[in-house]
Amino acid sequence: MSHDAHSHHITSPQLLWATFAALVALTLLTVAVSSYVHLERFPAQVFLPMVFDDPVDVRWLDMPITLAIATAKALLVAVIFMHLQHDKLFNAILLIGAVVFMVLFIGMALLDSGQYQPQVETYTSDKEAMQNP
Amino acid sequence: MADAATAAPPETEPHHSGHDHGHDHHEALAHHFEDLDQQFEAGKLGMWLFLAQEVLFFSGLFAAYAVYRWHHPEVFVDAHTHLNTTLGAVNTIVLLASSLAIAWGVRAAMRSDRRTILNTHVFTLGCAALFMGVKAIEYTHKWDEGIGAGDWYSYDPATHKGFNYWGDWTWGDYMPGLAIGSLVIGVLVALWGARWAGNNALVKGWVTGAIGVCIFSFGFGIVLAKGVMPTELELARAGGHDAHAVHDAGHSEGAIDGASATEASPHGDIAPIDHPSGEGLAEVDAAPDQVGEPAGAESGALNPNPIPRGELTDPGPDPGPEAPPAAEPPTRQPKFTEANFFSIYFVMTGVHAVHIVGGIIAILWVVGKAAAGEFDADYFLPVENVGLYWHLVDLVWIYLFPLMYLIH
Repeated sequence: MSHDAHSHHITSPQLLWATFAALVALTLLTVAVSSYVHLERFPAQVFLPMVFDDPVDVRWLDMPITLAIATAKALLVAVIFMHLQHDKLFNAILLIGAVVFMVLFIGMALLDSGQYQPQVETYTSDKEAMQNP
Repeated sequence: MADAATAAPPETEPHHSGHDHGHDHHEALAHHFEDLDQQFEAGKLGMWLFLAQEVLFFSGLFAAYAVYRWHHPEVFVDAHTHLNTTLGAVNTIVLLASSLAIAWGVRAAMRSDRRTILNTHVFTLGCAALFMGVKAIEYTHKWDEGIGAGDWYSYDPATHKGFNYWGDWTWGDYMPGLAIGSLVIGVLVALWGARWAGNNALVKGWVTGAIGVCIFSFGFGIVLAKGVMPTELELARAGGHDAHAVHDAGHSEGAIDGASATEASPHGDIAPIDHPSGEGLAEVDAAPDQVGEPAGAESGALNPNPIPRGELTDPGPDPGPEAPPAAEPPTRQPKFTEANFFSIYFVMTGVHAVHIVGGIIAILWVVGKAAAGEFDADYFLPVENVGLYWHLVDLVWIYLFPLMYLIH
């Protein structure tokens, strides 16, 4: 019960500044990727000349890259600024649990979102046929 | 153990609360907690539960975003050209700086450094208000273009104008006055607070000073954002549009639709989206007779049949995308257009902005309590919890920024 018992871990200024610098760098990186990297004709032949002969269309990578950078930033904030690294594990589990259920929710919504499109189209065309004599 | 805990308080009765030993009565210790440690952990657990709830709350909005982007990527590619990436990046860095500051403030609280708690939290408030100032310019710029949420969308790509619901004025007219007024009033309020703080009215002084910093930073944010992105009015005065010059090159919607269709094809097998009536749902409702005509038919006039304001409140014509007028050609299934993208944009960033405002109020409360000297290394739970909340607001923006501004 003395002072030592509730000594919280104090983050060092160097770590705080380094985290901030990394966050700003990642922000600039994601802007640069979006602004200056042409994913629709990515010069893959420069990096892998034995595999590719022409620029490759890798626009499908846009979303994964964006989300990966954002998640790296989010982890930096959560682990260092919110000091989950020295916190009780249970608090981290709460956050991870919320994120897991968010992913489940969005994933299920995506899987299901086109499910009733045929019925909707049938309904609207039926209604239209009834309204047009 | 229970005996010891219940027996402890009478023993320590003679001691002063300033005593460093563990069994004293800290004035912040609520009677239903055994000690400050337990209180701290319980309070922090409650905060994390709240933050988990916040994540789930925002997940609904992100689900809406994900579903519509999954099915209509070409609309997102088109629409995001209305968003200024530089302003978004500036706002991101401002929020990151505020996060650093408040993390620094929590560190100062652990070290019983009252002065640093106050300084970092006032800096955080300044960043938050700066963010809101930039947001104000972004929002009003869109409103002046006719880009609003839901029914307030009347943007015409041919003229970059919408129906002006407000008569003869635009939001941009009021921004210089708002900026100058905020700067002047902010300085005055901050000086007033500093004078109070100098006269030993610490709580009153610091809170008033912090409010002054907020008002000033809001004005500074407006000035900063206008430096990056001039408003519609100034663009009109300059005689051109920077971001939309590409679309202006003698083409109407037909060209844009063709471009978006070719851009969309690599994203997957999306059914070809037709934009027979331009981009806006509002036009579908207002001018059903023009639907299905060649796009050139309406490219000449500014919004040939702008929705009168009264019609939006009138339940007669169907305002929603679900039920378009009956006389339309068979291609009139519910469509997702730029109007819907901006509904998602305004709701997501708007809800985030509401969280910023809530954070400003909470941080002001912390400033007041810190000025009263209530925080030290033994008790700083409010500093910690408000800091956690602020970091979560930052986290949401970390995802919102690339998802809204960096689509391509």
